[in-house]
Amino acid sequence: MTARTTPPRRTPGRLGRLGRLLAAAGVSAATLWAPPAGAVPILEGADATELAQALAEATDDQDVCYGWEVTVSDYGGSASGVDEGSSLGVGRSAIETECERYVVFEARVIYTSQASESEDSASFDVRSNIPGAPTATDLGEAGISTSGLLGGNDDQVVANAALLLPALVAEKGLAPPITLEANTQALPSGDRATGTPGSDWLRKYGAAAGMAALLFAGGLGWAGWIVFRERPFRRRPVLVDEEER
Amino acid sequence: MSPKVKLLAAFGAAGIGLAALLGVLFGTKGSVRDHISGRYQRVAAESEGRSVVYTSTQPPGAVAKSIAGAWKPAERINDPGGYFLRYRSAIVAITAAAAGQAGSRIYVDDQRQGYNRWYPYIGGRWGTFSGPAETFRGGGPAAGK
Repeated sequence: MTARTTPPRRTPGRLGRLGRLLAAAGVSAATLWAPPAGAVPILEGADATELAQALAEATDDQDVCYGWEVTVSDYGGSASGVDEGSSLGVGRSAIETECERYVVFEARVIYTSQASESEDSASFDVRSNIPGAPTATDLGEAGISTSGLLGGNDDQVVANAALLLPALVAEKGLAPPITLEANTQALPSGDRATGTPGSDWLRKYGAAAGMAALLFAGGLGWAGWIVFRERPFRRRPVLVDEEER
Repeated sequence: MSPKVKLLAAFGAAGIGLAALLGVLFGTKGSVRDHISGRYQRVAAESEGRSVVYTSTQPPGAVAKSIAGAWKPAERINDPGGYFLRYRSAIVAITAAAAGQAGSRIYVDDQRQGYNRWYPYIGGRWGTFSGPAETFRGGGPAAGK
């Protein structure tokens, strides 16, 4: 991911004491307040451009326009807005344009204020004028989730969702499929895979192993507690009747 | 409940836990490679060493869903041309069969070979990339609720 662009710094002016205090307060507030993960724009400029280009290539192959439109409502800050783009370019909608056929990923993200008891929420859908086009269910089955839209990698989720559309359209027989083309060139020196993923076995069986270990440890702990606190094998005192003495 | 009965229940729970733990540790085997080789048709002519190609009569989305459902990938990339699933032991790419054919082709490579083969698609995301731009590698920590 390219680095997020930062606004140009203002040239410091001549501030009086009050001005400096206000500036310091502003810095503190800025440090304490961070925009939510989905602050508009969700996709940075270079990423949005690249996504639009990838969708444009799919449009060339399939004669279907693709796009994304994410509406962010930030009731706790000023990050509200709409992030959209399509095969036609960044900031351009594919709906009601020169595109005869379009399929667009639409999402809505709501960030509530800190004072609100309601949780942040998100939803998504697919808008299209093609009968039988992919649906939100299709995207969900392919791993797109509302929780992802609320997470720190929301830009990846939006990109993944939009890039899924051409493949899903092809699988539904609405357009010809696009195939991957393998690289046959040597990689530039120094380029290689990094960040080896964690154990595949743990990802598949880790939860089950953890639950079993927890049950085993819990059972042993409970048994120990009973032995030391309730003394199940302690001999009970024998009551002897005075008259029997 | 008497202490002895409680003790019996506790040892019973521990026993079940131990049996389940041993079952998971020693009774589970296989890998995503095994899963794929057991379900799809191998293309011998295009397979070499740790790089294996398979075919399926199912569409790419269904194949990706099936593989990811059986073995959850650490990372996943969708592309108009197909799906990439990343595991510790393999990079799996699923794409549509050649033009005019139905079904899918499944490529299973190790990390190095897979990164090389699919560099134009996964370069910069699953490794270093000295191309013109890196793509969609995350947006930083979430700050929402």
